Amino acid sequence: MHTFLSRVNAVSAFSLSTLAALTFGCFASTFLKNYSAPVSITAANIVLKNVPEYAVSREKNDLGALRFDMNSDLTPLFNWNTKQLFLYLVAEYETQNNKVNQVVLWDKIIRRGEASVVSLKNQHLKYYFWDDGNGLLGHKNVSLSLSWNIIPIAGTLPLWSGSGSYRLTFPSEYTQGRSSY
Amino acid sequence: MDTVMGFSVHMDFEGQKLAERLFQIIVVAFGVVGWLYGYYIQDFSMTVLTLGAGFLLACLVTLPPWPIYRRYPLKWAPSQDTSSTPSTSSQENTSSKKKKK
Repeated sequence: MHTFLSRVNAVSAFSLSTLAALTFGCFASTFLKNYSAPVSITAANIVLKNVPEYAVSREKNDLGALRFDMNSDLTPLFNWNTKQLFLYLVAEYETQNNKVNQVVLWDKIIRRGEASVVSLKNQHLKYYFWDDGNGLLGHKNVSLSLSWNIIPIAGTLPLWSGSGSYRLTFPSEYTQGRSSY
Repeated sequence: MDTVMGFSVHMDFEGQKLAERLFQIIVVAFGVVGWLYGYYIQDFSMTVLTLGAGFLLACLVTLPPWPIYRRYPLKWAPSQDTSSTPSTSSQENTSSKKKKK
């Protein structure tokens, strides 16, 4: 403390320790928050094809396609420890091959300060809805739901799901050709 | 040793104690106020900026050797004739002072 540089060192180190404590306080103030929110999803234009998925093999697998509408107000998820949201739409269903299938069909990043009300109409899927066999044909109980990661400024990476899902029914016949979605 | 660009930056012991106490109070006070303000407006960047302002103020108050930190100069013993003994008490005093933080 008797020289200029040792005082620079002392003030800087103490300020950084204080910043660490404040950051931990920010994390602690949001640690127990409820990050759930209601989501309404509906789907239409449901098409099912049976085509080869060459990335895996030459066998023909089920490929679903659809359009969806989704509405949700995610503004309550943004607090002072939220840097961004990662939203993803998951189709979950059970087949004879697997007890649980989860396929991510669409995702979106909402950064802090961007519009936080999701309102989609007739939205395309972003990723292919492949089954690993023929499990989608005539499936009556495919559940579409929205989940999200809260990317924080400091602390843990919570994983939450929106309340509300849509039950999807696939046709019991394949659509032939390049038609219609 | 205790100069920066030709200026003496020495503080006496009481001054060092006061300077340390002052920057701790300033930084913690700005941090607490900034945290509460950031929580109120739900924006952590304001907390960081407020703490930064406190850091700058603490630097301004405690880095330069203001006269308030030099009110208790050490009273050295009068220098003695150094030709008789190679190691004198005044040199020991200087080296022990430098070891102090």
